[in-house]
Parts: sequence; structure tokens; C-alpha cells
Amino acid sequence: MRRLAVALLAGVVVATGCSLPHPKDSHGVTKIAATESEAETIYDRYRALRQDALDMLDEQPLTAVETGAVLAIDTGALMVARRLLLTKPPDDSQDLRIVEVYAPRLDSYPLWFVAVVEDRVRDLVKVQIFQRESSTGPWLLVASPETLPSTELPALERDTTDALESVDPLRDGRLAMSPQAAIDAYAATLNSPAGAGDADVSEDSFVTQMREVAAKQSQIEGITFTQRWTARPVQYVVRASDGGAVVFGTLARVDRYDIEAGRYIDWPEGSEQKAFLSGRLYSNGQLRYYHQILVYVPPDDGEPVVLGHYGGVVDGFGY
Amino acid sequence: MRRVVGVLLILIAVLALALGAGAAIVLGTDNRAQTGPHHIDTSAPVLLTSPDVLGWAGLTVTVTVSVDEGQEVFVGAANAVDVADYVGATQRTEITSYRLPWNISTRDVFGNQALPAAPGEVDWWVAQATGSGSATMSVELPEQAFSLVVIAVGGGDLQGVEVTASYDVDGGFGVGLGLVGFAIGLALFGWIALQGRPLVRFEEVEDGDEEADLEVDHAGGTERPEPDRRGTVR
Repeated sequence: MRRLAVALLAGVVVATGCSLPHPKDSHGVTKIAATESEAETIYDRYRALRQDALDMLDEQPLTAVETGAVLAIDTGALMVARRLLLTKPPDDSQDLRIVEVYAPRLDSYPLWFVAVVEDRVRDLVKVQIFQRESSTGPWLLVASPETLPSTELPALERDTTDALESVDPLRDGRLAMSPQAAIDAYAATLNSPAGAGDADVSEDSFVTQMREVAAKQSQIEGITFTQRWTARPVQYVVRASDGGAVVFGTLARVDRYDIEAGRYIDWPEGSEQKAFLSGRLYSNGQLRYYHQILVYVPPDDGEPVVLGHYGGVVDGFGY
Repeated sequence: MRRVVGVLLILIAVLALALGAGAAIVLGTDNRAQTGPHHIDTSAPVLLTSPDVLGWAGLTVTVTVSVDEGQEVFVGAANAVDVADYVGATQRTEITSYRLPWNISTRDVFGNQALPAAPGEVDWWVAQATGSGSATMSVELPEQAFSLVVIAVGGGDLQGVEVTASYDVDGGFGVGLGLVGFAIGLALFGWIALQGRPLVRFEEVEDGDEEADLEVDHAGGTERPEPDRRGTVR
């Protein structure tokens, strides 16, 4: 009888509690930047406009879905592709599928979220960030570093409400170095000659690849080639489950060609130099590049490492 | 101890009875309580609730807004982060506190007359309605920080605005009646406990019977043999 009474009492209390209005959760004035279905809707629009841009080899549709460095890189790539049209047809196919969405809980605009996307045509994984600058603006792609399918991305930390945990770009609490310091260190490393030994970051495949490109340009006879790297302010950093951080950084690179008097350069047909520095170069020329890098900064000690990269020429001039 | 428990149960029962009966009476069989229309003094084009005003979830609110005849009016509900960014630079009246049935505090914030975009052009409204002269919108208050917004569409302001609000609690009347029933049951238990009568009794175990028979006394008491008060003649 007592057990029956207790069960009855518990049942009534539970049933009543479920249906009655109740005080809200204690997350304050915050919002999860986007749900998975919202992210899918945003991505559908991105995918459609990107396909239009690829079909027409025109960056105009992209301006509605991309901004900043990633738009500049894609615009540059489309311009080079227009030049390449002279020699071979462009690859305008795409098969992009969202694998995972990570959205932080934010208390004001801009809102942003991370989408891990499978690029089945190019056999790559894109780790992209979409941002909405204001409540009346569109969602725009702001970062798109790419990793090889074999690269294992660190597990990202979510809080109890399934929101992605973000990290202050300027703080190094629990990290080997602050996220901004890591991107600055990459710029410093690339500005130093190979084997200088004063690097704070590892000589990973990204650093090796960029050094190889610079070395190749330096071998052109009759020119003085200089390359300069600068780090742009870091905006997006997310916490890894092991306490480390995954940083979305952007590096700006300037390649300068100074040509000896009486000599000139003819760029190979279809090259990015030909696209931006058309015709012969007699005196000097300059090409600007953006490189978006995805960097893992380990907890405590250890060196940051580049997990992914997306970059290209964005503008240039010469005479 | 039994008396303490009894008094406690009866106190809880009285509280549950008051709550249940109150809910059932206020909500009625249509599960709805209504207040208004109430005039709100404003000359701004935007009227909204501060995020902490709607501190409850699970309640369905229906808001009817009436303005001057011919004035287009929009009423919407959205996450407070979206609303704060949207109205941030616009002149507005904010309802900063609200107590039932209708006791509000407001503050005026000065700014632009126009919003950065028409309310119909943004995609984050959870619920919205538009009308000429009046508009009615229903929304279930979610867990997230939330604001209700009234906007004079196409220029103009909200002078003379009147708001009628109703609160719907799905099954609220039934829950109220359930609470009343629960209170009555609890009070009975309390009363029994107060009487000091046992709810169960053990009967003596007969010789050779290894299991005790447990008999529940549904009548609420047991009859005990009266002690023999007569004297004994030896």
C-alpha cells in the first residue's frame, strides 16, 4: 500500500512537472549559431551558387556566398582558369557533402559555425567556416582550408549543450602558445631561410612545400626573387578535446620579381603569373597570395602543426 | 513523528489544492488565460520585450496587437541575440519587466527611425504575423532567451498601440484538476497519519507456520481485544 502510494505520488509529480511551464535554462542571452538543418540550407545555397560560378568561370555568383580571403583566392583561381581555357577545358564538377557541423553558443553577432565537408571530386576534406556578420546579412564562407582524407582531424570539444567551445585567439591558457602566436610563428618561419633553427613551429609539409615553391622561383635566371609572409589577425579558434586548439589562420604572401636591366620574362601559358602579369615583364612584378591554414596547437608543450591549407594568387601587377 | 508527517502532508495538500484549483479556475476548460487589451505609451516604431521578461518556457503565448486603422503592423518572436542585433540602432520602447496579470515597466531607447531591413526579409523569426490595424501571433516560449517584437511597418510609429495577451497551457485545466485530486489523496494520507493509526498490522504467527501473514487494514484501524479489567477471584 505504501509503495503504491509513493508510486502514485511520483507519477503525479512527474506528469505535472512535464506539462507545466518551467523557468528557462541558465544560458543567458545566447544562441547556438546554427542547427544542422540550418547549416544544410545554408550549404545548399552555397553549393548552387558555387556551381554557377564554376559553370560561367565568373566570380560574380560567389560574391553572394563568400567573402574575405576565401573569395579573393577563388576569384584569383577563376581568373587563372579563364586563361587556362585557352589550352584545356576547366573542371567544373563538384560533389560537396557536409559530414559534420560544429556550432558555438554566442552572445552576439557575428555568428559562425564550422562545417566539415567531403569534396568527393577532388578527394579532399574541407574544414569550412560560415559567418553571418549581422542579423540582416547573408551567411558567407570565410575560411576553407583543405585536408587530405588521410589527415586525422582532432576531435573538437563540445559543451553540455552540444555547442562547440571556442578559444580566445590571443590567450595561451593550457596551450603551447596562443593561436595568434602560432600563426605569427608560421609567418616568421617562412620568412627565415630553411634550417635557421629558430622556428617555434614544426617544419611540416606546408612549410616544406612553400619553401620548394620559393626555391623554384629563385632559380629563374636574371631576376632577384624575394618572398614576404605576414600573418593576419586570427578570428576563429576552437577547442580540441585533448585541451589543444584548432586555429583557422590566414597568411598573406608577396612574391616580388626584380629583373636585371636588358632582360625580360615570358611567363608560361596558363600559369598564374601569365594570368596576372600578362605579357612580358621587363622591370619588376609582384604577385599577392593568400594562404588559409588549419593549425593544431597542442596543449602544454609541443609544436603547432599545419593540418590543412587552401591558397592561391589574389592579385598582381608588373611592367 | 507520525503527527509531524501528517501535518506536513496536509500542508502540502493545501498548497497543491490551491495551485490546482487556481490553475483550473484561471485557465478554464479552454486552457487559456487572457489579459488586455492594454495600452502601452510609446511613440517609437518598435516595441519589444527584454530577454529576461519572458523567463519561462513551455507556455504558449498569443499576442494581439492593435494600432491605428490603416497602419501596417508586424508582430514576431525570435531569439534575443537576433532581435538585439536587428533593433540595436533603432528607436524603440522596451518592456523591461512584466508581472501577471499585467504590470509592466518600460524604457525608451533613442535611435534611427528605420530598421536595417524590413521584418519580412529576415529568416530567423520563430513566429510572425502581419496585418493592417492589427495582427495576432501565437508562439510557444522556447528554452532559449527570447523576445517578442512589434514593428510599425512602412514608416509610422506605434502610438496608440494596444496589446492583448493570452497564455495557453496545453492540458493546464486537466493538470489543475489532477493536482486537486492529488491534494485530496494526500490530505487523506495526512489525516490518517495524524490519527496515529497504523496502516498495516502483523498477526501473530501460528505454531508451525514459518511465514507471517501480512494483513492490510483497509478500514484504517484494527480491533484489539479489550484488556480484562475485572478482578480475579482466587
